[in-house]
Amino acid sequence: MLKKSYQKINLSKIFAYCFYGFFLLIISTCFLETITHPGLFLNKTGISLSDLTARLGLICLLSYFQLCFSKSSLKYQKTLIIFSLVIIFVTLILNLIESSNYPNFVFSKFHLNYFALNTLSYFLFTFFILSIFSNLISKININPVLNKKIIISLLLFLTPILSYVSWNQHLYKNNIIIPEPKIFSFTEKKFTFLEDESKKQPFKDQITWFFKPTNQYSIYKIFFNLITVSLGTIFCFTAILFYINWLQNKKSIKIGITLLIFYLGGIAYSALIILISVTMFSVGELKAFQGRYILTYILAMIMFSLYLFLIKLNKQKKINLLSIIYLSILFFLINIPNLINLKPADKKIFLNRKKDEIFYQKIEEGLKNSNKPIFLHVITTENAGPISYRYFLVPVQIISPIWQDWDTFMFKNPAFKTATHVFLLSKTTITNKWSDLQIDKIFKDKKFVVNNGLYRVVYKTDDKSSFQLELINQF
Amino acid sequence: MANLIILTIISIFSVFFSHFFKKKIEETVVFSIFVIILILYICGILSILNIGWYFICLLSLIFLFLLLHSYKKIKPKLLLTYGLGFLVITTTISIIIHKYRLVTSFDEFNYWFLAVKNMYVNNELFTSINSNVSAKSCPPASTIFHYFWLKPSKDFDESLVFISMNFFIFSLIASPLSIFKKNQWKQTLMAGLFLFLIPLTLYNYIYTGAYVDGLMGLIFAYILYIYFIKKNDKFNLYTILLALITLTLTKNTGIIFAMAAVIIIIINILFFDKHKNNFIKKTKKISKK
Repeated sequence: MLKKSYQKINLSKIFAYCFYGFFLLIISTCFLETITHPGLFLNKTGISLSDLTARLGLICLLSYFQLCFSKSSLKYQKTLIIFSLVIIFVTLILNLIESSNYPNFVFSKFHLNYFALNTLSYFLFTFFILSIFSNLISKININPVLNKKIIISLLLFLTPILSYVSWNQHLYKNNIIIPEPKIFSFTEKKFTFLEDESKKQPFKDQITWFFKPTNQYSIYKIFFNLITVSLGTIFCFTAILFYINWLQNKKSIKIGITLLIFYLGGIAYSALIILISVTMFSVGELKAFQGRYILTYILAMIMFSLYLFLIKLNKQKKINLLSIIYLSILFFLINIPNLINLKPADKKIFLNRKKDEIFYQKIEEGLKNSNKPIFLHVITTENAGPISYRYFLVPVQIISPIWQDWDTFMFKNPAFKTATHVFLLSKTTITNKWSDLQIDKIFKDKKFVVNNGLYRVVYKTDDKSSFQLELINQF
Repeated sequence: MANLIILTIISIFSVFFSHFFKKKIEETVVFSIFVIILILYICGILSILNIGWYFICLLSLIFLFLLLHSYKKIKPKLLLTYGLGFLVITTTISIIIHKYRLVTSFDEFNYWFLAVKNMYVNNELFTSINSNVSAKSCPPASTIFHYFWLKPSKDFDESLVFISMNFFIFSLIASPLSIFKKNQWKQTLMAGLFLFLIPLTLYNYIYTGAYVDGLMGLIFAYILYIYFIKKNDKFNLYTILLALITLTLTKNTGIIFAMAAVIIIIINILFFDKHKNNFIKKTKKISKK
């Protein structure tokens, strides 16, 4: 009965419907979000619609490759190709409309349970050594083939774990991380390294916070998670399809099962991402997280499917030139904006940066005798402005830069109070923003590095409520 | 000059492994990279990163000597392949387009290039006290390879980091071209195009940045490719193991992908792999006797 029912299922039809559904879900979400929050995609989150559509086009191709490989009916192949053509057209139009200025955000660190892995690896390593030298497995199991299989499996299993543990051991020895088991708790506050309001709460409260309609972050989080849920759903559907395909066609059992595990892993990975995004990441980080992390898995899946396709291609004695031309054009069209980015780098920018670097090096030389820490702070609208100073000033020890609005944040910072030098982008910033007697004590002993010089704060004789910078040294 | 020195070292490694394991050169290039990363990683942990680099140079000289000693046995058909052509073309383009390229994005300033710069200046891993990297817990596989590429340079040259990253990616995607024969140029052309463009579609900055998310995906797929598509001989087993180490040490999340790959392979080994595995074949023969 069951056998008959799954044999009736038209795989390619379900495939096509799945991708239609996925496409509609993404586009409608984006559309709704664009209407309710204008500029969301381009300015606030940096999510580009054209990126999404281009990726969708690629997923269509992935399905095409996998349909080819799984020896399923290719009845809907044409539909998929036409569908991908429409997507490319949409991608091109969206590319014309959108700007490419994306904001940048800091990443949170993600650590696995160090102790658990450590113990597990020691246990497995001992077992592995025992199995080799005392031929323990052969005593239990007479089959030598299975013994070999178990040994290879263990070797494969141990390799990444031991590598990971070796690195963590190195960090532990250098006092970089103190291994504390991070146990997930529903009621207790465990994620201490979290940043925004939601992260300060236990998980139970975070969920309540997450769905609060007045919460400005929740709408973004829901949006990002919806994309991940969509991907998780598509993984789930495809996993079921491959399972049915495996039942129908047992010839491709090995690859069928592999793809099935692959997709099941995709569901688990999506779930992990959602869990982490709800509990750990702020909105800014979500953009980077969703955009980059989920794609790692998808890229692996697509590349694996492509490798399978290449095998198929390799076996074909004659290939259809038309299909090659079509696919080449398709990929070129999708990648036009990306290929433009591959143009040779600008020499002028390079020379200007080199000048800056010489200037930074001079500052570094001038500050070598300073025993106190140097506090780095820069206000800039430039991309990666504040952080770039630290990069240039290697290897001088500098306290981590701060890029939030410094009016309130900076004066509370204990590191700033002990610092001797402050880096600024322009003189006007300090004289215009900080002309206040209340901060006299804070600025009293500090020196400011602005443009090509080292300055100190001097109060005007006529108006003591304002001050200016006096040049000490020109670099 | 730095490019020339490093490419020579990698070429010697690759030709040697190609000759030793009887494999096409595009398969051994990525193997050589994994070996170099592993050597430098061990040396880095032992705080002798600098010596590690010179040890690799010494190894390359030994390999060169061994190759010259048996140059008559070297098979040209293993070296003159489509994969090598793909690597030469893409690396040349990479060197040209990245000549004046500079870091512009936040995370590269914050970590990826900063870590390499610290390693270059201090000649030790970025976990040392002298380093001003904030994210010291991030594993170092890719930064180690950048350090390897930068080491012979007189100054810290940012373009070399981009080139090394590109070379790593190109060597990964060039490897599957080894399945094509000489008369299959159309298929190779199409495959090369796809292999180059698909990562770019998903990661717009994959060839112009030092982010490793795309690289992790490629290594993950590469492990599965080696297991499922290539004949499972000893060389491929070593490649899988080295790739697993590199994947784990690429980023904190690398272990998730490494374990996913391991689970997929183990399930296949235990339940479905009956004939292809050479190790198992050998044991079968023994058991028959």
